[in-house]
Amino acid sequence: MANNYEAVIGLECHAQLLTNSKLFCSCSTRFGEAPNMNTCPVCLGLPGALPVLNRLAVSMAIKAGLGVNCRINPEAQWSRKNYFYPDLPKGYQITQYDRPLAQQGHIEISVDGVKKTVRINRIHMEEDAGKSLHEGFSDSSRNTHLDFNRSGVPLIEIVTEPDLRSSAEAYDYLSRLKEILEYLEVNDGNMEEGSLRCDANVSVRRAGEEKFGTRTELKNINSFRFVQKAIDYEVARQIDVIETGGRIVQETRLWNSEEERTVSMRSKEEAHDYRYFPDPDLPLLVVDNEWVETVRHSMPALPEERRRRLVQEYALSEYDAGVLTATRALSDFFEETVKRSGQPKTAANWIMGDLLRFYKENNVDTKDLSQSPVTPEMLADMIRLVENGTISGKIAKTVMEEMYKTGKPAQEIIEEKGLVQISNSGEIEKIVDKVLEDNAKPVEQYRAGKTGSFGFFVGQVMKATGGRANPQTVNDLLRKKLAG
Amino acid sequence: MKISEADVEYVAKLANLEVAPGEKKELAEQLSRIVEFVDQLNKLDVSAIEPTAQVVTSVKHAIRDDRVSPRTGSSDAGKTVKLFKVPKVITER
Repeated sequence: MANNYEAVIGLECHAQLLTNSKLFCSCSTRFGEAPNMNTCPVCLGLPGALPVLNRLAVSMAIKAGLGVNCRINPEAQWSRKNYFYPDLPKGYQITQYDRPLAQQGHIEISVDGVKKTVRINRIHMEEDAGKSLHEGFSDSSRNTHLDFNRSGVPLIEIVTEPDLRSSAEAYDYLSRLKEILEYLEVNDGNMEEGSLRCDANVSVRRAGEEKFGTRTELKNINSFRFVQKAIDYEVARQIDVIETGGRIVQETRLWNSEEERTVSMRSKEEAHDYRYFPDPDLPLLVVDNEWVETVRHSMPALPEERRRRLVQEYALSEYDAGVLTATRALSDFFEETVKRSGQPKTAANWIMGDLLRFYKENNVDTKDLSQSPVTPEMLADMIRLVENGTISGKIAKTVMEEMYKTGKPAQEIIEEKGLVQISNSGEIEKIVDKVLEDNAKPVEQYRAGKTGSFGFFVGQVMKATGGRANPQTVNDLLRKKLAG
Repeated sequence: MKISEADVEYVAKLANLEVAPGEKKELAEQLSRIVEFVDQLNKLDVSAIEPTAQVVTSVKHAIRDDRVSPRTGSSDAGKTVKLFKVPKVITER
């Protein structure tokens, strides 16, 4: 950090919950529908329409809370946050204010090998607003168009304490949060489409200073890679302001990704007095212990825990464990293959070496492997065929590729293509003899001491058998015969 | 509690209401009377009563399953108006 300054950063992330219907009405949450098709009197804010809470949204919020080690409050309260904006038709957003659903959690992060705990202040539930379309219509100079399909979609807001000290820490925190939410299947982690959004509170202070400096709030960071850039820019800007004798103004700033800078969002006389009060249309949200425990039991192992297991139980490297747990689907794929084959190391090699390359070449997102042509069962079967000597490791590469292309099981491919390994030493011996006969000169040289050409003979035998000869048998026979 | 003319201005702004200068004094007086009326509640001893936010406290779980209603994707709003239009909202840049 420049000139002995320290950055103090807190993040507020909004995550869209993956429910089918909205938070307070039965309209679909489906993305990409024709404008205003997924609307009803409740999410259009028509007078007299009353909200009814979605149970699954609460369960997902509880799950997220438990996933980041929060305490789940037995009672949460719905409040109205009042402000005027056309995409908020009721004139208030239903949210949780002084009594949120979950509090006091934490996430472990690690930057350059240094581990750190980032405290989570709270997670509360709220409804999303509609979408304002400012551009793209013939009358856009005069009118703003509104689509309320998103109005009422359930969100959780996850608020950290100001524990982050650099943009790298903020990035790591966000990666881990995203990963946890994806593993729990409560959010799809898509920042570009806005289903995961993030605001950053940033201030700077001189190293050693206890008191926080004045903070600014950064909005509009709508991509993962902008998080670091936006924070870095803002930290440098604030230091510059202070160094040149200026004062930081508490304000909201927008990240402009084209100009790569933050710009002050001129508050057009907008009063930040939301006049929160309890929503009289909604009863207290009572979450009993049974509900929390039911959710807890439905939770899968989280990435951190899985990585630990891969390293400790399967003796994989930290790096390999990281690659294999990058998504829940991939991690499940690996674990299932191990369960069926009993070969963690081999399974890891096949998945990381071949399968991930195929996925990459075919633009398969490893978040969803349900359509993968190779299944864990197929991979485990193939591993077994190598292990029992039916095919060689080299042939297995070909089989693997064929499995991916055709979706056929290994056994079928091997039979179709005649790839079964030749382990019969009599058969191999004939081929070895032929190879040595055809290469009289190299054999002579070998016997004269030029033993480096051993690989050449192995290669010739393999070539003659289409790679199907058992390598161990080939080696043994060659050694014996060349010794002559 | 006394409501000042400045309070009237502030509340009017939050409520997106236009108040003519001549009305402020009268509104301040009227609002003061309303708040004073409600202030009578402060005379009651409520130390033994749990705070409530709703009239109906017996309802614990007015809650629904995550099902999309068959009517969805067919909103009258979507069919007839397509997009709502409002006077241009000034973008905050």
